[in-house]
Amino acid sequence: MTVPAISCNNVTFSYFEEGKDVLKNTALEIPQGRITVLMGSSGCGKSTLAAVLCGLLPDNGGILKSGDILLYGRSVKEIPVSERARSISMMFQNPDLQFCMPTLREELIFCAENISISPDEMDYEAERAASQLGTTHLLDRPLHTLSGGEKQRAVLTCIALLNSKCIVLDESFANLDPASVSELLPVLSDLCHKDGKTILAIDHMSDHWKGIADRYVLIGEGGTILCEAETQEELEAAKPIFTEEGIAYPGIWEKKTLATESSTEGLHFCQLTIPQVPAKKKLFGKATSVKPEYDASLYYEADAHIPDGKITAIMGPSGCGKTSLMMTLLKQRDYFGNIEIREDEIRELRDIKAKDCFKEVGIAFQNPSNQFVTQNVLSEVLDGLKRRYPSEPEEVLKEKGLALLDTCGLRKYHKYSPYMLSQGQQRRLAVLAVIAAGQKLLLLDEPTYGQDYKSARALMDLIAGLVKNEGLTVIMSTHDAGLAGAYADVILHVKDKKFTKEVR
Amino acid sequence: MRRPLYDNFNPAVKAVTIIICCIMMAIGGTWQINCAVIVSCLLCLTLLSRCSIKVMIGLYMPLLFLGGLIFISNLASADLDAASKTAYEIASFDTALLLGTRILSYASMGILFGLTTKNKIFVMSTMHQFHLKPKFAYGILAALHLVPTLSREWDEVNLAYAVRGKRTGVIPFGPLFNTLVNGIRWSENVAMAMESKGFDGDGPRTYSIETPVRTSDIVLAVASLVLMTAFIIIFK
Repeated sequence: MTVPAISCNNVTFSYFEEGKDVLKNTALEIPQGRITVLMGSSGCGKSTLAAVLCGLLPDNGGILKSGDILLYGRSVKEIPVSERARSISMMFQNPDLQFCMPTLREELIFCAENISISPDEMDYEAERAASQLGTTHLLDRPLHTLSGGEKQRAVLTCIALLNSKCIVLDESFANLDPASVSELLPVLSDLCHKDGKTILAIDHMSDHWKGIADRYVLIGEGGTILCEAETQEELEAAKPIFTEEGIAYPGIWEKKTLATESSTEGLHFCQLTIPQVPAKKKLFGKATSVKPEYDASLYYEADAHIPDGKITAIMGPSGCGKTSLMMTLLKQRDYFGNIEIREDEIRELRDIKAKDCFKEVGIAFQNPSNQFVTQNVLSEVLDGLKRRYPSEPEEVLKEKGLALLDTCGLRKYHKYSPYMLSQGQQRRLAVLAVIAAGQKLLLLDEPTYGQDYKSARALMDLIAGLVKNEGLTVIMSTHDAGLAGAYADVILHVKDKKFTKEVR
Repeated sequence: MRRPLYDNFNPAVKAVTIIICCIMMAIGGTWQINCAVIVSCLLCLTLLSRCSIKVMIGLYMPLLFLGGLIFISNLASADLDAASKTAYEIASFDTALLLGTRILSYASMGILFGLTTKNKIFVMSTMHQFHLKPKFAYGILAALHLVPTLSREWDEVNLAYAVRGKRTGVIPFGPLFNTLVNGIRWSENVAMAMESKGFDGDGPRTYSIETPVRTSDIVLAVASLVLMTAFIIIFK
């Protein structure tokens, strides 16, 4: 009988001595040469379990209170780090934070040095790994200029050089567009089914893995195994448990009816051209630039209408300019053509001062921790409320703030620092903080990035309620077609530098 | 014809040589020595390295301005009218010249080192010659390569403050705090990613780049120190 690639028994792990156990008596076996997908809701301990299985925790923090992890039958504690990399290697969620060298070639050489490959063979090994993963063209490009998908492929190239027998993917597709995911999946399938590697993928969506995964494992709070499925029928039968845990499965998002044109009010992009490279800021005076050619533009003479009081989803591959469009609406980038705001009168965005623009437009970034301006959850919403109701007394504002926090379950954390919240909670707080100030247009950059179905639903229900009750206008960028279909009134696809409106 | 003698100079030996020269210059302390050092550094940069002249000029321009300002502000206290010239006023002129050229001479040594040394080779050299642990050496390299990400996040944090109508002040403590929190989180992620790729801070490893100390490095170091001693003897 073959030993499992990974096996753990009775594993209890906590980040602090007196803290809550993130993993409690977890027992799991990952068989060799198969793709196992590990699913679970946000905060149930999936990423912690992955790091513990790879031996990265407790080496980098936390306490392993009980249990042991065996890699191919050997205790992970007994395997030196460099030797461990040949058994197991991990690909993380954020592609920006996985490299310590400027180019893929140098990163591959760094990996080769780590596992003591002879200097004479390093270049050959780097070329071999790159040719295996089809990344030869990326070898000498600066890593920070690569797209998210290319970076994740670069990490797989490093793993190919290390020749790790088992690959752990920690939500590695979270901020990749569907095209990049479709490119990576056959590569992973080949690594497993042709080269015999073992793959353990942590994901909160099973959609990606349909057809290539051999086994699904659903874990609950504390890393408890809730159910396992090997066939499509078993997966179907487990749907009630998925729903209970707040995990998405194919077809969970119901489609909303798209809005039909009824009013011309809202934002109008008329022959909008946005350069790929923004004009450099000048020390004195305004930055000037000339209208770029088609190839040097993100959008070229594009037209679109964003209706007032509706949710508009912008969809398109990574790098197509979704975030840049939001930066343009915040007057952070130059543009050609017109962006008209049609209400009772017609205003051109160019004629509005940035300071006045910020009074009407708010943004929730992909990384919510970038936008906290206070050290306390309640103060985050109070800050906006004070600007919205300058004459109201402090006590009244506090009550309003607590009521607002209550709408998405954050009231009990009102004395916490925003940085102590989970990422899903941070994202909800970031949106509340923007809403509190009473801005009319809300820009959401990948609002459900890295969130499970339950958290995504809670956030989007809150926004949909505000759109319906308070007439808020929302523009959101997303890669999640299910989410866009369920909440957006208008879906605009960015294709060939123009907007195409989805019609159903 | 430019010969890359200083580019090939072992970075660890080069760093030690330049530090000793700086200490000697601090002890010597006359404007003539400072000027001789500036000229020597310029000659080394233009003749014995392949550094970009454009970058070199770009670095020297603000320094010349700063040096000039220090000189003029100190000179303002000196009266150069021959009839009323006193020992104190002559000293003031010398002091202005000394202070103005001092900043340029120290900066010239830094520029000479910076423009003729590659980050990675220097870090490798600190491991090979100063026995710096790989954990720290590669930590420095990883931090350097996080700069583009940090810069992008910094812009985003500042924009968030502006959108929410917050002023950040001359010293932007708020955005600095956000960036610091993110920086700590990133450094943990990068450290785990490095370990996942087999990086063991203290364990055995091979090196693609070796930085041995050659005879030419010793000769260049001794020549630089002899030249510095000569300047002190001649101009003191």
